[in-house]
Amino acid sequence: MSETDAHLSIVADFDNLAEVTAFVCRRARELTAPELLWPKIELVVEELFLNIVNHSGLPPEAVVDISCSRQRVGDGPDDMFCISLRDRGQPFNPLKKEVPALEQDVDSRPIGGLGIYLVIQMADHCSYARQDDSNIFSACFRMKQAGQRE
Amino acid sequence: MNIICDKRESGTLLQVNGRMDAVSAPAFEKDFLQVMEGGETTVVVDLADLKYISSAGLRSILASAKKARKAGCTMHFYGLKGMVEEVFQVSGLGSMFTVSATVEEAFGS
Repeated sequence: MSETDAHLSIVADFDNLAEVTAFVCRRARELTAPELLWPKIELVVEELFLNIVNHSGLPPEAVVDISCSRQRVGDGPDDMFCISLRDRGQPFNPLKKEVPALEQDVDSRPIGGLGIYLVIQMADHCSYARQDDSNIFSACFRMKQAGQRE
Repeated sequence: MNIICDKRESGTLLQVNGRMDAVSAPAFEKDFLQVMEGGETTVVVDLADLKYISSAGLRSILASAKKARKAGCTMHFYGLKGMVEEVFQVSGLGSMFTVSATVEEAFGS
């Protein structure tokens, strides 16, 4: 069962990034996510929102629905802070994106391609579903982090 | 994000403060290139007061590093901590660059 969340429906536009991150960070504080997590939560929402803005093929003025909740995920023992983004863009499962080559030197390393990888590394649990012509991606963070009291 | 440029005898120290996100990250590359185009061959990037970095920040750093390599300019880092250090490690940039414990070590490395 999840603690009721607030939703933000916002146009998928780069200029809305600050509003999106402010919304999610405010919800993280309100739902008492540990301070240690705030920058990771912000990183995840920045990467996911901009991925939709830049790659989803949405028409201008198309909206992304964002929600935050505190809930149990699967059989996990503790609550998690979860961010969910829903867009009606072309099907894209971030979990199937190839892992970037991390061992290359400066000359060989491509610029970019790290956003989704960072999301998956920073979040404790990610899930993707394609429902009703929408991509729904959720990233969750354990409320009790190692070495940190809630 | 705020960048302070401190020209020293052994090179230039770029102190990056605040947040390096998709909005602010291009400013880092712009400032770095400006230093490099001034003929600098050693740049130490101080990230001790950088609180946040996203993949846009990593892109800006990597793009700068590629240009630096071509121009014969070396780029060192100092002061990584917290979330910024974690993002560097996870992305592989931590092992790609020289990361020093002190500014002096960074200029000497």
